[in-house]
Amino acid sequence: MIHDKMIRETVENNKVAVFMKGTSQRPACGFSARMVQVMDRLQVEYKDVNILQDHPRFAMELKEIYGWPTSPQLYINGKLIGGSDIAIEMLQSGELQKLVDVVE
Amino acid sequence: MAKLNNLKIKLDDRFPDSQIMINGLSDLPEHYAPTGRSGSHIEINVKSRLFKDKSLLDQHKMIHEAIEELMQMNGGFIHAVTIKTSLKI
Repeated sequence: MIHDKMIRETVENNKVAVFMKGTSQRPACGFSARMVQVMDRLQVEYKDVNILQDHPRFAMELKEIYGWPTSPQLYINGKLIGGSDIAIEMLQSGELQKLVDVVE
Repeated sequence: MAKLNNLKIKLDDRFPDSQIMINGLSDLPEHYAPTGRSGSHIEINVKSRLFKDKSLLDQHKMIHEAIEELMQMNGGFIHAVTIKTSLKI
């Protein structure tokens, strides 16, 4: 897996990381755009990684490592949180804010 | 329609005695499929007792696993899926 190291380092070295289609400035899919909106609402700094840089291998390696088959994917404090549906639900319930507020 | 039926069967098998709603949204416009592959966007709503004591992440994973074969990544027709899970009391 050629992206394995980069993927793991991104998750481990950033408090909040998003793997998405496109970039935060230019999302290339409706779901990724929704994830960017969630991040905007949280007003949190995050690392965005464009999975289309090597399609479909990047997505396949992500699935291999963390077990999530779709994009976008949100990671906080080194843990997979979920896709855009989960991010929106947890934004609305306030749980996402709590996770971001945890100091590690 | 046969495709959606197939999806319904898979979910019924995995989540017996559950409320399952499937909405086949229209095929995605071209700009939603920058990778040059279009496909169906499906909305799935499952209310089940099987979600008891499962995290939201695990609930979604259960759905992903049930429909895995139908995902485009694995040669299926589903390009994107919107999931909503809830616990049946």
